[in-house]
Amino acid sequence: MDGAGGQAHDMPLTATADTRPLLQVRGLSVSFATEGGRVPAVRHADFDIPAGGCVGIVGESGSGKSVTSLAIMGLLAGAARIHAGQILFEGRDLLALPQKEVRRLRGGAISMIFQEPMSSLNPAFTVGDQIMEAIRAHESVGAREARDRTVELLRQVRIPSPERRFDEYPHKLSGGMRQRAMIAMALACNPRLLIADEPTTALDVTVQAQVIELLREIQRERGTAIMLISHNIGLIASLASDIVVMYAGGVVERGPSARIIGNPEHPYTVGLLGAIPRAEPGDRPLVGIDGAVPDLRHLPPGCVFEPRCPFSGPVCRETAPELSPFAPRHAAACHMAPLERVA
Amino acid sequence: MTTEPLLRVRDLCKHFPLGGFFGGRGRVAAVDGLSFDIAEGETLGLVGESGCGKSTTGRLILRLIEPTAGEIAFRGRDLLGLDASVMVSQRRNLQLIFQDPFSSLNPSMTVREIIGEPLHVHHVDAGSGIDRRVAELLEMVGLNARHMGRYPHEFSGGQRQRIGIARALALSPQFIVCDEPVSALDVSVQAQILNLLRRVQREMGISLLFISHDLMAVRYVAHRVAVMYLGKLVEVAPTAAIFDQPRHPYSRALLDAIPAPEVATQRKALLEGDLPSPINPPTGCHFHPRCPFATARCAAEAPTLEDDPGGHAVACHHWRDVPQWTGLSPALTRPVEPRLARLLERFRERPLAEATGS
Repeated sequence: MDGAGGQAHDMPLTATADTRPLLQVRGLSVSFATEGGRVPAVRHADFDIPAGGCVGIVGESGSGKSVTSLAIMGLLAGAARIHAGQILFEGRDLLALPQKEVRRLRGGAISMIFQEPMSSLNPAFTVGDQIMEAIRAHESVGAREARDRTVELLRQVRIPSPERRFDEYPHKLSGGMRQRAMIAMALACNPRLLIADEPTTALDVTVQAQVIELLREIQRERGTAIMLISHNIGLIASLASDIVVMYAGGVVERGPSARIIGNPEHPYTVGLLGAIPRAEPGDRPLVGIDGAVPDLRHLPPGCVFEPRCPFSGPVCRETAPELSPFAPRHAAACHMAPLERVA
Repeated sequence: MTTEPLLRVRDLCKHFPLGGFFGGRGRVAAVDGLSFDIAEGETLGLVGESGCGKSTTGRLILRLIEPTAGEIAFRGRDLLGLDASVMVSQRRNLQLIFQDPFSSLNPSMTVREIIGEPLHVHHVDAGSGIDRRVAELLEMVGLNARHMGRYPHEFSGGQRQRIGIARALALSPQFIVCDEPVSALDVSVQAQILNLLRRVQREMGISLLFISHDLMAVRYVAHRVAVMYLGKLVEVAPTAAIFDQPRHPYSRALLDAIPAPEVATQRKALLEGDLPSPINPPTGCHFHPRCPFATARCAAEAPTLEDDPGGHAVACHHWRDVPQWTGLSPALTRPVEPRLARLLERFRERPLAEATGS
């Protein structure tokens, strides 16, 4: 605990008091219409992304992490409805802006990369054409300039011989190269926020590490803020300065990465950390979190994690806990926190 | 190894035709001259990236696909020479656990039918005995025996994988191929299934071939690890040796690529490039174009897998000359902080919810 606390001081505090966060998600609630009624996919999510910073959203299936990112991008499909909340980008609420303005921001100031690059690239056009199109959709530049910029982008994402790759179709590229091409396209209009939704999950281990390094470079060198979404808390901690932990549609804990992995206050975060196989000495069983993620149609009345929680008490079955602060920038939604009391 | 291994694989090859007119587009060597043993009660982890041939290897051993060449002996008996009907009866000793618990269970069968089916096929415990055996198996994998009348869709992903494991255990096999058994599951559920597989393996003394791309999962369950790259084994060693002193540059690269739960510091040197296509693999050592230590010899001459007396085998011309490996990230090796360890203890103390009824 002391070691992790020490690390926290060395970390740059990206959200300084005098600057407004680039993105502020406030009380975001999203539900989906299904045959069995409305299903809450995101419940009152609250978090910030500082300009030029990197925030990781960690969660399992049904946690609402991807729905949150789609809401930010304005890409939620017909069955989804945003009930409440604000998504403030540079202070302006994306949910209240006219469609035309949102469209200009999307792909421009905010862009996104997805898990499966093959399904996000159009197989009928060359990689270069698609990136050029992204540039020209947002800026009035000539074909010549757009082409030069595209080649430069391909070079920046470390695609070898970019002039040649420009004319290749996506199926000719390997999985890692495709994801790089996607990243190049996402960077085409110099976004201030890049949302990366499980960007490495479909990639091989060694290629995954390369893509994470590339994202780190982009954040450092171009000052692009990154919202990194993953089920892998280890991967997130290696890149993000802050972590938001989501469970069953709600934010259960958020804070600086060193705090979250060194001094977690929500039992779910504790369980997630214990579920990662480590190479420590000894032969202890892993910590599986018993049970499964709850059915979003039948959420427990109190704390959504209560049925799986080894620390829960009567209050947890009755009242849903609210996010409350435990340290600077560190908040958790748990009646039992700080967990020292119950450990 | 002095005693006869449970499974002995020698020079196993599988070439797939690439199609084209009269097979004119050539072949791809998905599995290219694999040799390894698995001892009784041993878990061998088979690690590699996509397209390296690890899943094909598992299927070849079970003869779900037929090898192009090579030998597979189970308890000294040549499996490849068996005709189909003998192979069927042999298969009760050799089972498979699939990656995706959503597509590997028949949705129109109850759990009783799914787990009981292998018992019927092999005429074990016919009649009323089957329910008793199914109940026993469900309890063994941490599911409620009263739920045997339910259908797969009524269970979560982790529970379905438990059903798949119960089905594989139904005939008390001696050997199970686990093909990426946790990679389709949520992280918290992966741990439950890894714990279950490890417990079952130990209690029943089964041998496992545990196929995975996740080295840390392999470390947790396997006694020995085999690392595969483009159809060939590049290193085979006891688990501790692979994680303490990996010899092959590719094994090191895999270990260096494990995302460690630590706040970003400087990263280790990463492998350049992607996996080459197995259709047109590089000459010599397949790994040489991505290897930081490659020499002219590596491009010309394929290294053979050479064993040492400690059972540590590596296929690399230069493993003795390369610089010392820096080791796993300390974030993966140091004991967890005392506070976190205390909190985690509470998760361990809690009895399995599903076994007690859910």
